[in-house]
Amino acid sequence: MSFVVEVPCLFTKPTQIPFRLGNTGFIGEETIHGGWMVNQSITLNGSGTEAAERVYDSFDVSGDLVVGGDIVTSRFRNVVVNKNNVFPKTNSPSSVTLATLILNGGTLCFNFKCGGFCTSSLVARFTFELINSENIAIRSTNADFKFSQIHVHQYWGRNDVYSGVTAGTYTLRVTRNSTNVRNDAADRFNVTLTEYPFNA
Amino acid sequence: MSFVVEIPSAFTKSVQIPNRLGNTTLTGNETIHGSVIVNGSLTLDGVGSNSGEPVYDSIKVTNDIEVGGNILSSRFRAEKIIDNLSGQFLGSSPSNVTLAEVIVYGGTLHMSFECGGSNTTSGQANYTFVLTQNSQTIKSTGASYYFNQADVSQYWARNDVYTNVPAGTYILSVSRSTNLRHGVSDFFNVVLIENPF
Repeated sequence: MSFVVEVPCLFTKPTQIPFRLGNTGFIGEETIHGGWMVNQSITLNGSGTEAAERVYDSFDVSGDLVVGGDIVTSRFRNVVVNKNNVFPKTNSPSSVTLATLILNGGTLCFNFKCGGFCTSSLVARFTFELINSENIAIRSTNADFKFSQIHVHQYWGRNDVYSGVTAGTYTLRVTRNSTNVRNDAADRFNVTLTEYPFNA
Repeated sequence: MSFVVEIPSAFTKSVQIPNRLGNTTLTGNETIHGSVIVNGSLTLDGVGSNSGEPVYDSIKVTNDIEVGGNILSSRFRAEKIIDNLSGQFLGSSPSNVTLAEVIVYGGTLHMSFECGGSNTTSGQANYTFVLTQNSQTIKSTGASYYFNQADVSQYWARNDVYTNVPAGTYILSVSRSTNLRHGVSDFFNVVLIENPF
């Protein structure tokens, strides 16, 4: 007499696979409702022809995350804005849009560099504002510089960190505090934005 | 004749589950003492009531890792430590001021120091930014500027990278050369970006 015993594919009790003797290969699609503990390595994209990329909703790493390639995310990027001759005259507009920025919801590290001169001795201020679709300034940075001399070009800057800015399309606007503050063809606004994939 | 076949809870040979019969659902908690190779997909955050985030001790990815959301780590942060601080050295004293208490999480620190000031004489002036713990200097950055003219305010800046700073609480202070002044229209700005490496 002979018979065949088929091992069920639905295990209803905790298992230890394989307790003593080597590795385990899963050929099908696996769903584990309980905890999952592996004491040795996990090869998720194995040597089989059906190898594929894994997609996680999220995962925690208590120790190090070692990445041989890039960390690819839309929130990890750089934007550079260069403009000159923004406020060449007294009667130039005192607020000018420098750029349209598409933000992806990360933390924004801005580096604002300014060039300019004054026609009177004063503390000049360029105010950079991030404007949302409702024309509301949601973040701003003041870049002040004390001009001890008139008609002498100077260079200064500010770094700032904007967190909690939701994804969307914004404009970056700069405003001068006096019509005596000028930014002509020889003066540069240089803005770099680094967006990081975290929200402080 | 009847008999009972018990499915073992400890498998004593390498297994392939299920080689022919479709998918596998493991309802309990699983412990695998060997390695695991999955040629299909692996859903770790399943539909069951016990679903949860997978937690790894560490992960090594040989190629790219793609992230649709955020990467959360205490060592991954950006903070404006000093925001338009003015009037720190109005006269000949003091020569050193504390700027901020800084909590470090053990990552690599990218420091951006922005300075303003004037000098009472022409010549080179210097700010020195110092990170201390228990009065011991851990890291420092010099930010010098050559003043061609006396009593004319200027702006200058330095970037620096501090590695191997253990997690802990530190004090950031700045000292100045004797003739350097930081008036009410001169500003310090400091941004710290901590990266998780």
